[in-house]
Amino acid sequence: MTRDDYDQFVLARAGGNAIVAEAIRTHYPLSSYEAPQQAISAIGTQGGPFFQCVTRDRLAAISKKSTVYAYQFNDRTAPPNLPDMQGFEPMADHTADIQYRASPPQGGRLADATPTFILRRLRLVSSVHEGLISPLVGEMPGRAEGGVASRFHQTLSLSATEISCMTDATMTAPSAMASNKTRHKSPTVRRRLPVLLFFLPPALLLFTLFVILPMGEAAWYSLYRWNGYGAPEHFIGLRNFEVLFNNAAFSRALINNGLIILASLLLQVPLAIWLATMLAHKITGVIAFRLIFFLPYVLADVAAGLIWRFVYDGDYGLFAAVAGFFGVATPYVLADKNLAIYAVLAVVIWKYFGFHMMLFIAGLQAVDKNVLEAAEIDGATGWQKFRYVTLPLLGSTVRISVFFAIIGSLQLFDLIMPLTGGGPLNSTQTMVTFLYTYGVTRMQVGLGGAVGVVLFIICITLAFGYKRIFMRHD
Amino acid sequence: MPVIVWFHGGGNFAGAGDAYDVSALTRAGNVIVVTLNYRLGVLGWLAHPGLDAEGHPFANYGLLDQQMALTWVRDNIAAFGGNPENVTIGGQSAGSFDVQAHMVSPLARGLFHGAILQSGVEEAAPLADAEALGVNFSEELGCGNNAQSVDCLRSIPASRILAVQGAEGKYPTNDGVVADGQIVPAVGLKAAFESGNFANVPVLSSTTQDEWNSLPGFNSMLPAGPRR
Repeated sequence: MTRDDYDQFVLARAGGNAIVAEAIRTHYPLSSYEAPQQAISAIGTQGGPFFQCVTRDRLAAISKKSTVYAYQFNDRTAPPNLPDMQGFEPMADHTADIQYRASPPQGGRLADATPTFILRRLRLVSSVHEGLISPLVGEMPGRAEGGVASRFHQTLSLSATEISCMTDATMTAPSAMASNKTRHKSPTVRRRLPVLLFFLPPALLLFTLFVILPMGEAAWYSLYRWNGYGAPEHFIGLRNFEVLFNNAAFSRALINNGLIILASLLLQVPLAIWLATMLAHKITGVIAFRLIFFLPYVLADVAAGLIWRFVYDGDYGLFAAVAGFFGVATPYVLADKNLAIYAVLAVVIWKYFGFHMMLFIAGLQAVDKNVLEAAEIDGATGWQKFRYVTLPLLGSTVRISVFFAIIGSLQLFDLIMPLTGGGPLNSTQTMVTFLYTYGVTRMQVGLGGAVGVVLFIICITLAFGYKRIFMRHD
Repeated sequence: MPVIVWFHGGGNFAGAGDAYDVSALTRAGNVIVVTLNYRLGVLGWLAHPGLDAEGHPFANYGLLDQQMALTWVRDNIAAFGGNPENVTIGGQSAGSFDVQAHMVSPLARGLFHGAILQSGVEEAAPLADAEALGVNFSEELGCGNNAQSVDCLRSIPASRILAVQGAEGKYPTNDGVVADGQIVPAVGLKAAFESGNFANVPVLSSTTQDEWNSLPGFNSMLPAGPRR
């Protein structure tokens, strides 16, 4: 497909009328699409007499009386149904949806995409979750019928773009088309360019100065034995890294970071989801509870560390008082190299679960109540509603929460310093406290740089890997 | 078990009940899927004043076939383990169009309890237009437009009828469905839906991102001619 094909197609759709053709070109500018074929597809699909416009109108009418569920199939990699049509890609075409469902090329996809709402409406939700099908968004209130409110869910593309229904009437009414010109929202490179030129350089400059350069500097210093005075001159290659990986304290720090990640994922996030499901509804006192649970996150990390240091104190702290009350020996948890890390983990969970809880509350509030209502009508139990409807719809929130939990765990520093300082016997070191203790306070800038490089590589690998694998549809 | 009755697409002109691998649906869900063939093209959707004068439902023979299948399902599906009180009709493209026709058809009330519309919404042809087209067809076959036209048409071999109906889009139009006033309300589908005169069943509807791409019209719309 070429630009000429696009022009000829537009002219043909306009019945040879140059003014109408220009209106179509304005409404579906080639620059808004990756290829001319996509633009042609959009004109035929959105503006044609058979599909999206008329479907929208038809469903709007039906929804005044009956419940309507609508979606749009978007998987452009679905198997082509007309393999003999060479010269262009069928993409997510007229029959791709049913073809995809009835004859999946590989096993496994069909089970998640059964279209039978009577049977598996919940599975439709899971395929929405896969991102292959536009989520059900927007709604048009309809008349209540038999106790069940009618709903019309517009498909994503229909609500996201203001489509002009190019029926025969509008095709012959260039003024109607022209009026849409001002409403057209499709971003074009031409429109973006001034914005990019104006806003990008300052941000790029700041990013380079305060992120790229320091990172480059740290990597450079990691190749030197340098105490921070004068210029780094004693080049030792990768010796700092060798020292680092043979250092028991650094190994302990790596293990601790892993433990913190595990605790965050296995305890903190589930706890946050559980609390969020209870606090997402409008019940008495919910605001107070949200505030109480969120309070630890508001507290400065250093203050939280100091508070918990007092709590754990075996002589004068809360633990000592409780132990004294019960007449048992006071546990000195922060002084015990086997117990201290668990004390830290408890504080980490306490400190950050409120943040994740708030994320999930926001996510839960965005869950379409109609889908839950549909599940209820289908006879789903409370657990089934949570497992097959709420949790899949919370998917993107869970993924972003886990992402924050992992990255936050890797960066943990200012909570630990006042709490344990990385001790006793390095048992609560994390990578960053190790960097501070050995790199900064002991003036081994090269070694600190090496820790920074390792931390950066781990973070960037995890971040990109995670986003690539788990967040590609978000 | 719930039952799905699936109407194939193909412009009510082509296609067959086995066009889709419905066994995939039965494997994926606890459901009985029924597919069927129905009359296509002129044989399934011919309107003619002579047929109108006979006083029986006419023009939408394809829909009548489908409704007979639905009646059969209601009466017999229990013997296959199906629940006649939980029948969902579904279709893709023209099949979706037919599903909408059943939703407004008084003859299909109570025969189904859910509807699936995939990639297909259209308006029924007005009866007068469809009959005018039927007259053209009759004349093309040499049966003229008189009291004997219908008998003449019935005597013509199917092979000749198929030959004269030719390529899709000539006979019949509007993907077949006619607003005949008995099977499909005379006001047409759009008005019937807008007035609320349709079966109140839950509807699942889908369109695809690139509907247009696989239509034969896609190629034929290109002035440079078909591309292969």
